[in-house]
Parts: sequence; C-alpha cells; structure tokens
Amino acid sequence: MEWRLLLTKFNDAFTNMAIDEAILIHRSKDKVPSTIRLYGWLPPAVSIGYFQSLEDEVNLKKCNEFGVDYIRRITGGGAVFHDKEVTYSCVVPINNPLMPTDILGSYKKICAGLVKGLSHLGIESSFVPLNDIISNNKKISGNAQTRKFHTILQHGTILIDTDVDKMFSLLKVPSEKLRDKMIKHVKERVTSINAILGREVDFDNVCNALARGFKEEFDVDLIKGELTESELKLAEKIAKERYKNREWNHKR
Amino acid sequence: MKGKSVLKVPNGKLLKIFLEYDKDKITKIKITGDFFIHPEETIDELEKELTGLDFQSVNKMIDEFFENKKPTVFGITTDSLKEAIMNCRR
Repeated sequence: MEWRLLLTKFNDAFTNMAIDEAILIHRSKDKVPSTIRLYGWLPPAVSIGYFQSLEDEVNLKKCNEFGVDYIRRITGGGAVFHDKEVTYSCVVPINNPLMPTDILGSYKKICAGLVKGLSHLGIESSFVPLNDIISNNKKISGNAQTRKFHTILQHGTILIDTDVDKMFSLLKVPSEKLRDKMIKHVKERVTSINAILGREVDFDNVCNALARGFKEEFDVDLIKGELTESELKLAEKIAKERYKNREWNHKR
Repeated sequence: MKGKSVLKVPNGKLLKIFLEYDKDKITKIKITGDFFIHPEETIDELEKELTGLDFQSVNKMIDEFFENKKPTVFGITTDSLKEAIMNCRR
C-alpha cells in the first residue's frame, strides 16, 4: 500500500490546523491518499483542545507580547505550547485494514509508529493510554484524535526541546502561589529529544526518523508528495473561516 | 448567579464547568476541560439540553442523554459531570 508523506515545514497556527482539516476532508472524499504529515510552527503557538476554555487556559496578553499565536483545535485534549518540536498528523479512513477500528487501538497503532521513529534516534519510549508517549517515565509526546466523515485525523507533538518557564508564562495557572510548584512538577514530568540525548537534534533529522517509524509500523510505502491545489485552497478557506475566527477560538 | 467548578476526575482528566443560574434553573453552561468525547459535538448538544433545566433534573437528564447518544468518552464520566455541575452551586 502507498501512503503520502507531506513535509510541509513551518507554518503559522491557522494554516497548520487548517491543512490538517483540509487533508481530512479530501481523504474522506477519496481525493488524496492516506497521509502522514510532519510539520513545525512559526511563529510558535499555543493550541488548546476543542473542549477547553481559551481565556481560562491561555494568557492571551502574554501570547500577544511574545508574538505567540493561539488557536482552538478540532481535537480534544490539553493545551500545548508548540515551539521546539515536530508535529505530525496521520489521516486514514476508519476502515483501513492497517488501522484498528477502535479509538484506543488506533491511538496505540499510530503511537507505535512514533515509538519506532524515536528508536531510530536512539530513544527508548512507550505508549501510555490514552494519548501519551513517555521516555524514562517522562512525557515526550502528546496526541489527539478526531473522527469525522469515516476518517481518522490524529495529530500530536514530539518535543525536541522544552522551555517550561516560557510555557507557563503563556498558560494560565490556578493561582500565582502555585506557579513555581507547577513548573517544578512539569519539569520533573516532561522530557525532550535533546534532553535525553544530551545534544541538539535538528528538525529534519527528527522528521526523517519519524517518517521511517511510520513506514515500518504500517508497512506501507511512504511516497513524498505535496498538498494538492484543492487542499491548499480549502486550507486557506478553513484558516480564514474557522481558525482565524474569534468566535471559534473563544467559543469556550 | 455565577458558578465555577474544577474537578480532577480520578484516573481521568480535568473537568471545569462555568455555569450561570437563577434560583434552581441553569441559565448558561460551558463544559470545558482536556478530556475527549467522540463525536466532539456531543458536548455542545449536552450544554444546549442542560440550559434551562432545574438542578434536580440534571442527574436523570445526563443519564438519559448518554444512554441515548452513546458517545465514546475518555477522561470524564457521567458521575463526574453530575458532581461538577452540582459543585457550581456552592
């Protein structure tokens, strides 16, 4: 079986989330192959889960000050500061024979691709249900999935490096009194590729390793491709109508 | 009156509810948190059905709603939803 590999490099938050959604819609109409996409965020951005409250979770003033975008995803889960990381998305029909049909099973299968990918960088890791990958007992990857039009979209992040202090200046904490405690807690619980390897690994190397991991886990040929004109056009429309729309981002 | 509750669901995610009420009646509700519900729009429908409801009808309504819609839920439970809604009233 042949899947498409998209290396879309760095885009802003609105474009990134709109591209994932445009791929989902095109895949559901069988206009494009099943797709693995690897990408980054420029400028850095905070994304929140579909069910989260933007103003309760994100310090919008600080985001504006730092030039950090903020955006609501169509997937559930928690707030993420997208900075030094590789983000992937995986778009596959629910009935694809290579993919378990149940949600937990499909998380596990896609995350197994990431675990294999990380192993190619020399990092041992494992999947922890529902949606985390840990290494040395610390989280290195968070993942979120939605299913629409009989198609799975799962996206997630693999941390290359972390800046927990900056992350906490952008996210709201229940009280200032708790801030230091929470920062300490997260520093003890979150890790990154650079932290584990003790050296700096660049974005493209992480992309290559992850692509190899997915290819092996699903046993498919990953053919490097591009977004179609139609996907790009739809992504532009979705970016404008949904992700740059104040009503969407502030809906909770 | 305005109410808010934050509940860490045991072995689950964080559930935060923002609610407005007038005596016994819920007039506005937002169910938020880092949980997962498939399909996602289920939560919008639940909010809609809770709006205008008396607190004493909440438990029954939630049970029936989940029984009917059968969404796939990770990180929260119907019990945690009921508890978090009631906690908004304190």
